[in-house]
Amino acid sequence: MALKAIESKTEQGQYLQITGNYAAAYGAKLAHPDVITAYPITPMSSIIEKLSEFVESGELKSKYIIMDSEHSVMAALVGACETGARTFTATGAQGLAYMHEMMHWAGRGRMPIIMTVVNRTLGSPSQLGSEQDDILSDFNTGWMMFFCEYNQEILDTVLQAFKIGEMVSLPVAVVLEGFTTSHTTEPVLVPRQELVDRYLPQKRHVRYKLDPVDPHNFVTCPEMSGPGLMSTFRQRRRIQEAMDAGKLVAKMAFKEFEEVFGRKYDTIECVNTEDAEVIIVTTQTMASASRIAVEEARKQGKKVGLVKMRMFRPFPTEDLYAALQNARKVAVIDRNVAFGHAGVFALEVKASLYNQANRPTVYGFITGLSGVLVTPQHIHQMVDYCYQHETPEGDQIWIGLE
Amino acid sequence: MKIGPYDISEETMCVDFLLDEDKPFTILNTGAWRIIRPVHRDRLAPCTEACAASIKIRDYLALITAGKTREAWELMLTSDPVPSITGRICPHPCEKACNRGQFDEAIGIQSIERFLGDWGLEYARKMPQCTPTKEKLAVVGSGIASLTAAYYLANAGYKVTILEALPEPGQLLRYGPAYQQLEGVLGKQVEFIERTGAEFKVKADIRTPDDLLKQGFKAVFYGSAPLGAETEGRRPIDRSLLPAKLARAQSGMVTVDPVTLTTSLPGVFAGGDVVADMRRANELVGSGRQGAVSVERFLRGEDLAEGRVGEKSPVVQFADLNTTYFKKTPRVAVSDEATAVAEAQRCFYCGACNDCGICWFVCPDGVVVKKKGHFEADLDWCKGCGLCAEECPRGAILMEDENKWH
Repeated sequence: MALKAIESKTEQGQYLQITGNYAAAYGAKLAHPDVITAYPITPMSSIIEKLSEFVESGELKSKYIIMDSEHSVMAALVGACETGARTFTATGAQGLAYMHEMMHWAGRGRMPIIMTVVNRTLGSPSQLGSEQDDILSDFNTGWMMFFCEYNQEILDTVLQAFKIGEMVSLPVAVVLEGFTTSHTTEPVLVPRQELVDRYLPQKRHVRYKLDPVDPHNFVTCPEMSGPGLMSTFRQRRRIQEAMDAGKLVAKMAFKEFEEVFGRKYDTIECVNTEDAEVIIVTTQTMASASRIAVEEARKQGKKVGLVKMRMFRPFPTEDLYAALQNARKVAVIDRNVAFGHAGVFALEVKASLYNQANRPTVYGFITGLSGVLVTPQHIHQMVDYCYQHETPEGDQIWIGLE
Repeated sequence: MKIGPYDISEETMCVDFLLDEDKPFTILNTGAWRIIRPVHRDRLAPCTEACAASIKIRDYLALITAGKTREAWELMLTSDPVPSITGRICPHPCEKACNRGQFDEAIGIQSIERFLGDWGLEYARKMPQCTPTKEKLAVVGSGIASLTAAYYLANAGYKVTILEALPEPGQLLRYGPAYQQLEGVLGKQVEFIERTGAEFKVKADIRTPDDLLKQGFKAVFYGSAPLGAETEGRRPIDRSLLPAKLARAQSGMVTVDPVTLTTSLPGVFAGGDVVADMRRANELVGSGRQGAVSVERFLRGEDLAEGRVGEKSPVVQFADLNTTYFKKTPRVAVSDEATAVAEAQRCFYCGACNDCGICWFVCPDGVVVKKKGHFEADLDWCKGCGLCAEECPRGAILMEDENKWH
């Protein structure tokens, strides 16, 4: 009946009622990585569990390795990546923190490893709700980062991540909220393999490959770093150049995605921003709540808009400024806080606006920590705060604690 | 294919990020650290550079300090066959250029040269008379340049006849004010050149170059301008006494190719104060030796100019040295071998390695080793820190770009 109608096949593929985690798993399956390493952690485990089912059934021909820890998960992928393999894994929270050293290694080593990060609060105390601090702790590792709001977006972004990461040789994290997104079922169109093969190259194209039989001195991939401090200095510059190119490559990847699959994506998504005087800047399910809040605010005559940030690294300075420059006030909503200063998205938005000609006032809101639900009511609170205060009362305005 | 300013490789469909230059690098036993490496470069010492005869001063001083006086004298002879003369009357530009002069006092190079020359003249008396075996050559004049040319050609085995119009050889050395200083040694110097096989013909009837060639001389070198008649106890230079057939400039100097010293007549070469108002002893010696080189190449049918116009080599400056290792000591007056050694020991030995071992001492990794008696860095281990180059008292070690060696 209703369910049957949803799980229907189309020209493009098949609609499935799947969770965010499964959407990531299906996305990875379609990209057919050569090596998947796995270590479970709530709330992402079902990604790797689903992938293990695909591998066991033979649907997915990947080398699937269960590691002893997340540090080893990433270390193994670095090794595999050096030999030219396409690689995938998933983690979050404590697991992501455990592999932090290897996050730097992969980023600074230009390894195009693709990973799904399912946000979860970092202990202590040990909590399962979603906070963004786990992935934001890796903001300077050289990983590209895309934040996803809904399940279709997750599958699509995983495919885009493989394409973009491999083109500029940087690792990519596809980030989704734990439980609200990871465990919520939505209809997702899982495309046919043939369509995906039109979008993604069959295998990674590699300039330099480590041959395990005859390894030599393999410092990084794709370029060899030379001797002396100067050469690594130059290599760091290349990473930034890769990020700069990544902005353009991402747009190209999104454009091609639309051509193949028909769905439109960009570095940011603008809702009602053209004439907005107050613009909300946020991510993930807080954007979902904001969509409703913007609609309601507009009905009240408030000129409110929303910028949903998808790409966080590289930071889409130009696109963001284009959307925000005519607003008077910008409300950045963080489900994270860099203790001692402000929410990370607020810090980054402010920094990107500082040298611009038109600078809206930026209000940094902290909410939803520990996975507390952020509702349209909370968004209204924040919008009203903006209207009531010409300037924020501090770098962090905590909402939702009552 | 381009995306913005970035190139996408058609082959890999990846954005190309290459290093600025795809350069190979050296891998040592400990890693790929080295970007510069120590190289021993034998650089031009300022004393040799200043000397128009390019005498290898630094090197003969080192031989003296090693007690190898004979070898020092022999080395001297390769650039200057008349050190007893130059050691008395040369204006010694070497001393003015000596880097030690910027530290305490310049080395008394001329005094050592004089000692070495006198020592050599004494030593040479034991040497046998040499018999020439090759072609007959004429050297006209017997001043410094002619004596020098005659020595080198006789030493090479040619039958050299030195034609001197005046009753005694030496020209200005004999009949000029310099004779005051040279009286004791001029005779011995002439004897020395005779012992190498050259023949002096004094009161000679010097013919035109054609006549000389007809007489069987295969080549002629005019080294010293003839002296005119004596007036007021002096004999001035009189270039009009030179053969008219030799083309000359308005000044009266014979025109020659500045490198090969060829005149307008084939087989006839000229140098010294015949071709320029040359008075300094080191210049005259240098010119005489170039004359000998030209004559010999001419006789052997070799290219006259090849290799004789070189680029100016960089000279070791005082700033290139590390004088921490030297103590200020005053110049030693040279009168005998012991004092010559003492003064020679003050030489910095600019620009070349004398195996002092300072580099071995300061190397933090202990990778300077002795190979065949010489200190050098073991490149399997050297990380290129540059301490040896920095410390080398003589500035003999340069740190050079590692990439030059790939």
